[in-house]
Amino acid sequence: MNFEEFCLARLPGLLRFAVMLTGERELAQDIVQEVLCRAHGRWRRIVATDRPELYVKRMITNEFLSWRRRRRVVTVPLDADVPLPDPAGDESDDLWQRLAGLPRQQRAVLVLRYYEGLSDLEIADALRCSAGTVRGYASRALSTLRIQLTDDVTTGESK
Amino acid sequence: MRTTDDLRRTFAEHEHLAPDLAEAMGPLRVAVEQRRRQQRSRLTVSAAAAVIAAVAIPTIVLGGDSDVSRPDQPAASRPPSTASRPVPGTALVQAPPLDLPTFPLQADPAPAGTSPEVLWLGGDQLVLLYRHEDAVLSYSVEIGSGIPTVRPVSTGTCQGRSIGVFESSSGGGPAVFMAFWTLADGRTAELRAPASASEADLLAFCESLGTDPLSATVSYDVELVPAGWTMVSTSAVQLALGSPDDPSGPQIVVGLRARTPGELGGRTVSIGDRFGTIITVSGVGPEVVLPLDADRELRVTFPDNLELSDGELLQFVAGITVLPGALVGGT
Repeated sequence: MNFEEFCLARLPGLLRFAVMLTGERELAQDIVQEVLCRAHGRWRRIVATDRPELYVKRMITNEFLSWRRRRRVVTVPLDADVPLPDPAGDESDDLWQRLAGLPRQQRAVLVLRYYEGLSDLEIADALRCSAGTVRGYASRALSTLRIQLTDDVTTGESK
Repeated sequence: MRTTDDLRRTFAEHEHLAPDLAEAMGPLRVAVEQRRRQQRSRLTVSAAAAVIAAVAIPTIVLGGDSDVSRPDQPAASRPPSTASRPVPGTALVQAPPLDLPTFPLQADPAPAGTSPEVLWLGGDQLVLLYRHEDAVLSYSVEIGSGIPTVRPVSTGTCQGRSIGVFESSSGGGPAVFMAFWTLADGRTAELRAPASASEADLLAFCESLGTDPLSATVSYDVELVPAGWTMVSTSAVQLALGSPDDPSGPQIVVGLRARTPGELGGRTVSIGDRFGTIITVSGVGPEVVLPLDADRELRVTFPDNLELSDGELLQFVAGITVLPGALVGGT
């Protein structure tokens, strides 16, 4: 499989994965593009691995974890036909917003565990840390989400 | 959030945010082509620089001074020893002086009955590991994480200061107790107990923390680092290097391990006067293993996206000195 064939087959999945990590469409596209540009330069080595897609996803995870925050111009649509987000939102949107507030390692662990379905050992391998650290990140992230969501329910601040 | 199924559902419901293939493929092709042109341009510049260096170096060496034993620069003109001087021809620099972290609280002997092993000490987080018979307990203390706005399950005092105790359960597992309080200097402290600890254990542990600062233990001296990198955490077991701008990002981890029996796989390499192995697992960054004696080996793991050549990785490893007191870590 050459680089072009790989991108045509796998790019949509890589972009979805990056959106889960970043929570942002534009940032996800930036990260995937940066990673694939680098992957192109060493494609022969990557394609020689058992699972190039897994390799690239690990590159995306590492890129997400090391991505420096950049000043981004936020554009607000002025077109009245563009639907605005529902300020009340639903539980899923609320949780999505809360995920964006987590430290990046914690969010990455949740995505790898609950979106990618990886085991803690596989996540530890991907993040170059111990399985205990992975469990710690997951526990802390879930605790934070539960505390925040419980707080919203009790104070009636649900988004 | 009742279950982790909510997380799975949330992820699935937001897949539509991803750009589609048609939208992303065009810009990707342009970016790849631009990157390829930049690399070709850099290669041309590097080749020109190599030619210039090949001409210039003999000129300097033979430049009218027959005293070849003299340093190539007068001492007064050398950069200060504290500067991160680049190593010619590599992406490595001389390691800057270590700015050793201290922690505002001291760990005293533990409820579990053994002295704590400082697993990790960064600028604002301390992870303590206690081994007692077959059990391993992990307590972590984090400074500056803030205090939750929800009502605590109980309150108490720790070292004369008011604390709030919070309980959190994860995925139907056992409850984890956390305590939050404000230090004398105004910063917040968060103590997190292991899952097996009760609220009373948490309070006892909190009370046992000393208020003298805890100094970091350094077990490895590193001569070279990638440009811009520095130490981000240290313990008797390992040293981690990372970017100071992103201390929780990718890291180089240096540590001792019990000698691996049998063949490691990978490629045999020469490091100084020893032979080691460089291993690259599919999808993971490289790892260099250097046997030190019959029982121990030095393991250095590098992040996947650190763009150093194999030669630079080995130069980095050759610059490591294992200091007395370094402990063999777990696998």
